[in-house]
Amino acid sequence: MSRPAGSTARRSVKTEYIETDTGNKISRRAFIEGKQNIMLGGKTVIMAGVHLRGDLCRKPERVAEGEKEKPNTTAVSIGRATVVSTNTVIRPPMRLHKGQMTFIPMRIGDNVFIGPNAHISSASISSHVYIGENAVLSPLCIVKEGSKILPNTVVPPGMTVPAGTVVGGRPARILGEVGDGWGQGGGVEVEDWVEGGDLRPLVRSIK
Amino acid sequence: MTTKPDPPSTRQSSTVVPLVKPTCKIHPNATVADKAHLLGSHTISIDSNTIIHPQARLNASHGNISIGAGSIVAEKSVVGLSSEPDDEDSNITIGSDVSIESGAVIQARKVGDNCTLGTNCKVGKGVVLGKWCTVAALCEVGEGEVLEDYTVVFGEGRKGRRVDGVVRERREVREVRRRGMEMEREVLRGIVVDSKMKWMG
Repeated sequence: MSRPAGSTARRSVKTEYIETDTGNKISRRAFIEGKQNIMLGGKTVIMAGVHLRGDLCRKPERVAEGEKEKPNTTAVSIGRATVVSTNTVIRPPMRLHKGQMTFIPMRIGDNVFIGPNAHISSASISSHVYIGENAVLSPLCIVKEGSKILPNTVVPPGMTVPAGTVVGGRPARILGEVGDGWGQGGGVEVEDWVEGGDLRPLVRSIK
Repeated sequence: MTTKPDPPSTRQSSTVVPLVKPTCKIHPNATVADKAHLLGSHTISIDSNTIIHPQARLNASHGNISIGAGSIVAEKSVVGLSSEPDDEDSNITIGSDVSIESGAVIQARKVGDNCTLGTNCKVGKGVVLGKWCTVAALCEVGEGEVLEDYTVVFGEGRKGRRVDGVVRERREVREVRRRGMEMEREVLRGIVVDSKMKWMG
């Protein structure tokens, strides 16, 4: 009995990631809304199943007559060599501003690692941050440079995670500091990387 | 030749459009995103001003789903029973002004008005939530649990349940919350592109 060999052979032609001119790797299976409002810095990886809500941005006010309409606003901007792992949700937070509900543009720095299944709703994330899997970053929290968020952490709304600290728990508490030399030592070998360090080798290894 | 898969059906399964469309009763004021997934063979009813985000899943394979007025269902959340229910009552009723945040998995029998179901929380089968309940992010409500009005779930077991006295006693707090929700809906209505006609067909 001959079976049609179609379904498996047909798919293998396509690659998992689409690579842009600046080296961003975006999975074909990511769910991206509002592409025009998303900025990727280059060499950034968006893995499969990531929900990126670029459509949730500040709506330009109704333009007064004679005035030119502003170019579209950015909802999510992600820096260089940042890795967003599978099934993560990135959605800009909302707050009351001048009596109106508006979405706050979200900024994610360079060399940030975001673990699988995380939920990111923070106002800003600085560079060299490590976010573990299943972590929930509630609306309007701020994560400062070089900090580490342990897996399964819930960062409460509006919390500021200071630079160089380790936070964990539900709700998140400061558990300690990352210590000297965190993020150092990677990049010696090819495909070698450390938390909080340069993620370029990791990005390069993802195909 | 019975084992041979039907060629058209295999091709269909990889696309977004489900083979069986549920019967949908969507209020003209509701907003259902184009990329929302409404699955199953039972009835899904969505009341006025409710917003269903893209990639939200309403699974009516094992029972009817009804969502009250002014609710928000965020992306990646799943509403609906995952498997065959044990008893007769397999319907899911969600009240009005309920906020279901992203990644929440809701299989409850009834969710009261003004509830907040946090990010990546799980609400098991047969659960009955009262009014103004809050399930915090990553928390779980086990099968068959019944929670009274104003309960906050923030951990496991009875230690992780508490009644929110502020919301219960203060009418103005509830009023502020309600207004915040209303403003949120107002903004979202301008952003989420409505395509309920796709489901009404």
